Amino acid sequence: MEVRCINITPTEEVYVCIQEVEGYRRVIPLYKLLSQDKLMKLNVLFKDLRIKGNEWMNAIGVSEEEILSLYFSSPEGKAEKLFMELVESGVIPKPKDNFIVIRSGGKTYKIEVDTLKLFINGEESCFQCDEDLPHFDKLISLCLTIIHNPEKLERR
Amino acid sequence: MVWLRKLTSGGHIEVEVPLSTAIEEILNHLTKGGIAVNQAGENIGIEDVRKIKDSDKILLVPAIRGG
Repeated sequence: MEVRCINITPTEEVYVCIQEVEGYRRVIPLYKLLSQDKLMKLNVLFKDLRIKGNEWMNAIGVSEEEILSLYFSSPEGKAEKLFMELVESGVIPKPKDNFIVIRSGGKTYKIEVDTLKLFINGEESCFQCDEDLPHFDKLISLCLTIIHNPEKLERR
Repeated sequence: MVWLRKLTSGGHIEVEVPLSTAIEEILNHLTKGGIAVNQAGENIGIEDVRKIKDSDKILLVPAIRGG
């Protein structure tokens, strides 16, 4: 699993790890899952450019299984489990190459799974949700809105 | 009993509730602009709510709007 340092606000940097799974990239928010001491060790390794392969996990004392277990017990991971269940049952189209494509109401909607960027007929569009949902819950809501109520996504 | 899954801030919740409570909750959700689908992914409109049966699994998702 590859570690990345990303900005979630202009001044706030956090650590996530990226895992390639079938059809999309899973972004695991390490900053929400690991203890402060482990995050501090990770920060030191990262700043010293000592992050190579999976060695960082040994260095901070955590295994891939533990990270996945923590992730799937968190609201973000539970949301992804629900997403996988809905994909398996055919309610939501299967992602491919990190995109979900839905044709609805004469338009083609393309959603980038890891960023939630929405493209309508190839043009980037924005959307908003009243609730502050975990990433995959937001993706589920967006897909079901496109499938059942696409007129809600018209620009206002 | 109806199995309700509702996507809310902080993660989704799953509850099993009596049919009458489920109908009330789903109607309330739909009137706020949300979407309800059954286990087959079929949309449930306000006019369909009375067709919900015991043992149905319903997913309630919040309204998403174009920006």
